[in-house]
Amino acid sequence: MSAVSNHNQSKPGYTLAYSIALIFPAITIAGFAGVSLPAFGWFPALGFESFSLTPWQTLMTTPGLWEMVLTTLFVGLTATALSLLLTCIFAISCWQTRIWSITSKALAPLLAIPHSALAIGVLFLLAPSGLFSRLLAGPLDWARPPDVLSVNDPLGLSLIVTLVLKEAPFLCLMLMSAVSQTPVRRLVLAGRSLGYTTAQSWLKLAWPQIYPKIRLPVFIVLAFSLSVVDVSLIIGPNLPPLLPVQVLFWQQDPEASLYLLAAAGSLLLLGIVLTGAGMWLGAEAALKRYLRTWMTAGYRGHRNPVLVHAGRSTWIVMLFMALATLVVVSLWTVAWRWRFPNILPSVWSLKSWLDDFPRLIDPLMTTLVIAFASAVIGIVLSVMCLEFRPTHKPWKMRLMTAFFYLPLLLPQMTFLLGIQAFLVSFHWDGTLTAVIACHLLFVFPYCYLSLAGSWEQYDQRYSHVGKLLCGCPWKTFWQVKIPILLTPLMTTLALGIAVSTALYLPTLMAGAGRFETLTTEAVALATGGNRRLLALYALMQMLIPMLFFALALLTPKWSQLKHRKDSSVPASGRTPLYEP
Amino acid sequence: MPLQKSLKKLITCACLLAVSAFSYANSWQETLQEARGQTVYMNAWGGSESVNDYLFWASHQLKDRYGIILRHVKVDNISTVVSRILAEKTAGRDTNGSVDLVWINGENFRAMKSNNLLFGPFANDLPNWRFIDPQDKPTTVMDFGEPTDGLEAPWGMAQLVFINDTETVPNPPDSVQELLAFSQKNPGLFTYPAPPDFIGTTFLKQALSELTPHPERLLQPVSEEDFDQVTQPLWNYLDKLHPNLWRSGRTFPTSATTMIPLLDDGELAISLTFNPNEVSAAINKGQLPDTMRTYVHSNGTIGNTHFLAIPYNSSAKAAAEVVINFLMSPEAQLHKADPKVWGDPTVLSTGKLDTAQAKAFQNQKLGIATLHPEELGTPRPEPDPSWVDALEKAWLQRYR
Repeated sequence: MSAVSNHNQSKPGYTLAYSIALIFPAITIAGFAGVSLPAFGWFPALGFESFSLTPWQTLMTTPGLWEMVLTTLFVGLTATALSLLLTCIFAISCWQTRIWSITSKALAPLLAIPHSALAIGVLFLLAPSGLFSRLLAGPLDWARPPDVLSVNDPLGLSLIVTLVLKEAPFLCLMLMSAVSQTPVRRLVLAGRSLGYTTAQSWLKLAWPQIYPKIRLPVFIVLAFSLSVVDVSLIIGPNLPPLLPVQVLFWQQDPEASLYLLAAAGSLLLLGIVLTGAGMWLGAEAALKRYLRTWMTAGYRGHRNPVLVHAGRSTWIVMLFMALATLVVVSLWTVAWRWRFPNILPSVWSLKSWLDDFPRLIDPLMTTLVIAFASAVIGIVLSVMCLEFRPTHKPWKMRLMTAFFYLPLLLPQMTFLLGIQAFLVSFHWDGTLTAVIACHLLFVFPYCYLSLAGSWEQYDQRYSHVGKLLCGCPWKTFWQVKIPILLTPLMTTLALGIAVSTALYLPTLMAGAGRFETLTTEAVALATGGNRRLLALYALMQMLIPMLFFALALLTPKWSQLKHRKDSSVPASGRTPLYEP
Repeated sequence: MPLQKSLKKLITCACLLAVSAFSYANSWQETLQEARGQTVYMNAWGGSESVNDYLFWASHQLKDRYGIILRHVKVDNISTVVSRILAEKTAGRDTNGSVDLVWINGENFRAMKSNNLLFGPFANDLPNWRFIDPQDKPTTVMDFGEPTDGLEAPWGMAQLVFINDTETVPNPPDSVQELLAFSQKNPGLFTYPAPPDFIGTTFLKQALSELTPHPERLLQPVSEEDFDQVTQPLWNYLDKLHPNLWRSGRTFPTSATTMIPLLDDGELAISLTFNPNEVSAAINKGQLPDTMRTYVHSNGTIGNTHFLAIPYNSSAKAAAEVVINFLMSPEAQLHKADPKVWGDPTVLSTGKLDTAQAKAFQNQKLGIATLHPEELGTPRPEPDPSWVDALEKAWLQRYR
């Protein structure tokens, strides 16, 4: 970190890094401007040229509005709190066990599954005619599926389950990297030597140091859960829908004046996200105050193996359920007849693969083109930022990083609607460039986040040696630094592809409906009646990112093989020259 | 003013007739030439695999025969496309629009027509228009009571049919009143898609037209004065029906196609669709058991025609015309009517076809669960399009 090579200090380099850093927040903020004007009645592109409060008056008299707002808040906050709770349980009960190491390997592919595909899997599991109910049908003697609202329930409980299935692993991954930056072992050891149980030491010593490190991801999860559209379309409440979904419906309505309503609704959504964040901050402060006595009272705790096992089981059940979604989705792609209450298909067939797969090729190619382009551009921009960032001014660096997260911390629906207003006004909607640019808003921060750690851990002495030997910073960069960082670069590529594959709203809003990706098709099919075809799309959605993650995992092995022949350059950026 | 207008129309028509006789063949050749190489973005509902497959087939045919690339842009609700084109018009994008062909009818057609968003009149000039007989099928030129004026070309016929599982419901209800009695006896076995899904709305229209003492009133535009009076029987009916629906009416399916798996798993025993062949097709595709059948109420069910139209700012108007002409051809219509393909009844009149073609249509074997035209009976007319919006709003107000 302290050793920064000379070319990194160049002025144009800074300017470049700053402009990249500014471009995305600028687009995001422009999106908010773009949505604010229509919300107050001004949208010349649709012929509304006077300011008024009519959109807000219409919004306030929408049937079921407050129900929508409250359910949205409830779902977002509950999903985030449960995910964090599960993460905490995981940390306490699984730390330094085999589950921890298994999880660390299983998380990347699990996270690669797009939200919508996971939602489809959960739908196949939890629906009244789903796999769980079929398993119960035998013992309970059910002739027809129970008439219960186990999915699309008005409170959004099934939506919460889906979100937790996806968000808890994400927070766990963040937790693991936070744990690796914290002397947890020493802290817990200290706690234990004072007579505290492991769990108590974790809660009282380690957690207070780790939580601040995963706080940003927690807020990302919160903003996402409060404004999610695609998962909510599949498994969320539909009468009334959650607010973000209703905003999408308004935006798509033929009545042009409803666009203004959509704009006002999306600003209300922004208000909800801010309120949610405020409530979260309030809860944090309250907990801190309330728990202070408990933290310092010296209670050592009792060893409670039942609780520890319960914690572990919860986590294993969760991993199992995520796996079960994959299984049930795969089964549906080869089922010809699979009526309730059969646990397995009664007639199997590869027909849906043979007949339906050709139709899937076009959306598959579109998905790959968009994903590849946005991931590669995202990586190039991230590398430029990392190479030229102002390392000697930590506050500037932090500010820059904070800017990157803006699109992740604010409701997608709100600023995408504004961006779409701009695109429509300039006739740029429906172009591939617009779609890729909108994807980049989300792909870039993840690429940056994923690469930043490896860039920091990179030992600058390799580059110094390289420059001494060849005298050229560029050559050194390409021939020394990039090969060493190849593994994180490949993982980031896979991550970028996974993020882009999962995106729904950006494709829809910027693509003018002309770009069909696996995700937009799967979400559209989720409201249709063909479970086999839906399963096929969901399975492809799951497989594509997993495939790239597998490739990324194989890269180090392959490059190690190659390098063993050529020279003895270490293939991973994670191995420093000397242990400190 | 109206006199002047119709006079103008008459003269235009006369001129067109005279001119078209000479230049008909020629101008169509020119259209074909211009169309070659163009890409047509067809925005059409994408919720049915049979329809998607059929358009996939059509795109291959069009490419081979006319060198046209047909791209099916799948849409959940076609009204979104109308709003897109309207947005383009207000934004001054009068050429190079994003949509070249739309699949519409009813309120969407009226919205496009009244906002001057349609290209044409073109439909009556298409070579295959000669197979259309408005005397035989009046809805091919009257869309929900709105004259099409050649701004849209008929593509297929639809009629509301109910679906019953003969295993659980051997004797299906014969009216909406009997449907209520059935639901009260067997709660949870019937539901309908939440309006504004068009089949959900069609169910409202069906129930209203069966229940209201003034069905003729529905053919007039809706008015605020008597809306409550005309629709009160409907709300009374629904208030009684809803507690006995699937999930006790606390939630509704989002579309009619969502109800297919529900039927398959026995969650529902009665459902509804707007395509008389859908059930046969679903049985063929392994999505439904072969105990499913369709039925209509003896007082008739609502029927209509669906159409194809070209937005005024399309960048591929010639190719769009060629596509529509192809989709109206006896060959394409026959393929579409095949129950194994889509099973959508043809808009062409057998009297206008040559004997071989007519025979092909007559000999086409209907699916196991498809009703014969005589069994379908005389369809009830669609209410004036203005009712759609009013009914949907009132429904949302009450039941959301």
